[in-house]
Amino acid sequence: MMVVIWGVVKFIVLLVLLSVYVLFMTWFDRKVIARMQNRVGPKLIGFHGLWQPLADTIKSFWKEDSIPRGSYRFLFWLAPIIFTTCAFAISFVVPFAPPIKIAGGVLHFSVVNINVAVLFVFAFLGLASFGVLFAGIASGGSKYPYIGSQREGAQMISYEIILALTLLNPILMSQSLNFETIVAAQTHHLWYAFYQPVAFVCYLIAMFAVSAKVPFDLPEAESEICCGYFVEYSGMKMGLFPFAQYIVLLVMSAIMVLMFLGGWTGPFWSGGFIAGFIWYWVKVAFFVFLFTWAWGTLPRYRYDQLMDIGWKILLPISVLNIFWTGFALSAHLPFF
Amino acid sequence: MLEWLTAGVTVFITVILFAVILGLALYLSPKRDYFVKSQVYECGIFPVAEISNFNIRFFIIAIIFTLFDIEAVFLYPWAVDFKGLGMLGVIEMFLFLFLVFVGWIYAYKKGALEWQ
Amino acid sequence: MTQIVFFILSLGTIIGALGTILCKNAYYSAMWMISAFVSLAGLFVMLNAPFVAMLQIIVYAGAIAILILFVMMLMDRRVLNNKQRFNPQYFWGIILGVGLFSDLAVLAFKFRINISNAGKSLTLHGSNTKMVGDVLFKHYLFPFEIIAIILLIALIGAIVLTKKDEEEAR
Repeated sequence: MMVVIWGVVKFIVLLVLLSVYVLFMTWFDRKVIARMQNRVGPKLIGFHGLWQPLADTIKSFWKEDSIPRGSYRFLFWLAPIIFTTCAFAISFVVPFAPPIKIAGGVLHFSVVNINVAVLFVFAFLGLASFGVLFAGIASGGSKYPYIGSQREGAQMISYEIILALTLLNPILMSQSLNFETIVAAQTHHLWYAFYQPVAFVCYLIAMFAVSAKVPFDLPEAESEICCGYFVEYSGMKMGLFPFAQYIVLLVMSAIMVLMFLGGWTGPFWSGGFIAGFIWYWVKVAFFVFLFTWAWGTLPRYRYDQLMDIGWKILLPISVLNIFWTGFALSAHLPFF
Repeated sequence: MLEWLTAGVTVFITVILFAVILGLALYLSPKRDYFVKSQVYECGIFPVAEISNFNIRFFIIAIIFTLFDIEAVFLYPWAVDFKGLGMLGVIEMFLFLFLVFVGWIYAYKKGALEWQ
Repeated sequence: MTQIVFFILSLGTIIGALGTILCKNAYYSAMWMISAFVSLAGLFVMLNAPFVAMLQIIVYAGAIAILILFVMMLMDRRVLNNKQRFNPQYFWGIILGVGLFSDLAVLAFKFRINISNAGKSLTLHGSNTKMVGDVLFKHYLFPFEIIAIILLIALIGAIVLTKKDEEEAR
């Protein structure tokens, strides 16, 4: 029973931290992109507009919440809830700090510490795509949400395959599905990014596609289909979609760091909780910043190009990479 | 076991929490609805006709995805039990992956992955 | 404790399954189906089979339900809205369902299924994924390779069928 109570406590802490992170990220995105485009960005409320996201959130509670005629009302309500819940559920299995040994056990910094964590992530990523599809379907026959949700659904499932196949390589090398064990396995080796450069790059591309961010933000391409699947949403319901997207983005970056870049280990000054914590979050913050950076600089791909990249280039490469890893491990090649 | 109970409880709490947030927003928000406002928004222009078409390509992608997904999850027990299975597992899996790859080559040659 | 969780999950599965067949709107049916799959995954977890549970969500809820949803999106929305709840042959379906249910009930009474065992995991403990791997790649080696061939055939079949449709449409 203690495990459950501890889990709920950790969940509440995680909830607060993730909400603060999302609020901060919206400000950060706007500010960085404004700077990249020689603008000022949010400025008025608080220090350099730092309270702007908070004001936006509070305001969105009082926004009129209009549901289009002819929409499936229950699905319309359910879609943002499904999407946000699944995004949160992914973050439950990801450790956000190195585990510490305390008297009588180990304190894990993930809400649940299960030994099929990687599969849990895939399962809930798959479920998250239903939130998007339902949002498009329920919008009362509106055209842009329909097109956007089809795009996002197909994009998410296409790139989930790439994620599953690329993450298989670190799992093959560490023979575990638990993130903490995978990180521990990397302390004996070099980081897996050095063994698996191909898988690393494939995951990096797939990460952008799964979280539907520039250059792969086809589902919500503003210039083509307004806002994609959440055009018809307003107020708080609309706010939940970007909220969940920012969480997916963070979790994808965290998984990248855990699987390929050694989690909380560093080339120097490692060992100990504080060192591990700082290493881990420096790496994660780099990838989170990479998303913003790409948003500010890269143009958008066409949809056929997106599908071509996924199915014609990344898929065969990642299958061949599994061949290579299996061969290298079973033949005991040097360094493996 | 208890970890899974925690997962279930926390997922449940999350659902309830977001439902409560949306309910609160519904309670606080003004309701001034009229005919034009409750029309579908799309891009702000008066909506013309309902959508009725869906590109068959999405469906083909979904079928191919289903098959590759099933193949991908079969790889996981092998990866976790790599040491225990040894050389036999590797040969078996190479045969399996080879068949997957043949399937991919067929799809490629047939143009099923083409997006016109 | 385990009993309560078991009954909640099985109730979720049954309600989901009933909702799937009783909902008039096909999209709501899809939603109920997904909820049934997820509760079923919970039951697998209770049997100490987390790998199978995750497989259940990834393959059934993640892949097959999306396929079904895409099929529904292929159809015209107005056609789906004006559907009857049951088709004319529902009588035979009810007969079949009642027959199967009574069969299960008779079996349950005959073998005196102990309700207090509900939700107790009777399987082996240990890493489920590893055990699945052991069984799959050592004992069921040949069926596993057959699966690969079946999947290949399914892929070829799907491509041939959809390609033919496309060429006709042109």
